[in-house]
Amino acid sequence: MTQEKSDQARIVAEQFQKIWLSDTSGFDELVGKMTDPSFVVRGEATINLVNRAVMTTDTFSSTIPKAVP
Amino acid sequence: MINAACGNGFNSVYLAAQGYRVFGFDVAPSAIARSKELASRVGVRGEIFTCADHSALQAYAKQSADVVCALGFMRYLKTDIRDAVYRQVARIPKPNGCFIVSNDNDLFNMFSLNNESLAFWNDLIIGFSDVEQLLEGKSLKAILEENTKLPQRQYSQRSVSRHIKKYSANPLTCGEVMRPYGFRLDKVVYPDAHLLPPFVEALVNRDALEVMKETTCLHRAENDWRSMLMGFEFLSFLRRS
Repeated sequence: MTQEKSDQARIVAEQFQKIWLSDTSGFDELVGKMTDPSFVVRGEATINLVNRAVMTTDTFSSTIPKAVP
Repeated sequence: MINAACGNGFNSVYLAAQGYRVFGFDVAPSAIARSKELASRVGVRGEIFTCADHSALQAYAKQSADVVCALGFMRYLKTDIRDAVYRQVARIPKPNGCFIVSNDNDLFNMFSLNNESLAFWNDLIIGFSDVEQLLEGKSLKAILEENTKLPQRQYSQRSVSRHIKKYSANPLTCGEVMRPYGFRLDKVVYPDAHLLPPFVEALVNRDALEVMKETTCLHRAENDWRSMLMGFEFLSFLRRS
């Protein structure tokens, strides 16, 4: 691995380590949106995360079988 | 489902709680700590989460999952690592299994109307032909910068991208790019459009804009061609051939 590569990977890891120390957003908003499509998600970053999750979940649930318990 | 760069795990935990078998990994220990906390709160097993970088994909067996999901992940990977990740991911889905991947959208640079727009047009023009030879020794980039006044891109406090070089992709060619890896493109969607160019967004009421965005983006995400330009990110839904 070159120095440049390792720097990029290290910086990304450090930045996300800081972000996820306190960011617990997403779950309640996703539940809200999946339960009621008119539920309004707030926060620029959260809107993006939840919209991605809604679209992924919709596709997922329409095409992939659930695990057998 | 395997969720690469699962972050605080909210999507994985939601799907696991719905009855799907999910595994998530993330390079940040804090992400895995948040994921396990959430799993515990919702009654999902915390062991589904592991702290690891992209090399974790090597551990998954061939044709072992229905879906591999990589959201907000590829933009931080250099070209050679992206290639390695795509090769690894291609092994994992079952036949007709799905790879859902997000990439930053090259075409958004047309809409953003900032310094990155000039870089986009420069790369597009000089990549298309040798026309720069006609500019008598001046670079096209210099001419564009001299004659076009556009603001510098502003980064949010939270942005990881301001610290590193980011990698983007073109939604119009992503199907072609992924074909050699054994994927065929089902659809492309744009989950989060900017309703205004970012420097104009800064001039309007933030709360009102957020509400408008939230109520607009999902409706426009799939079937409105304008999202292709206004979305800073796109999701590709790919099937294993």
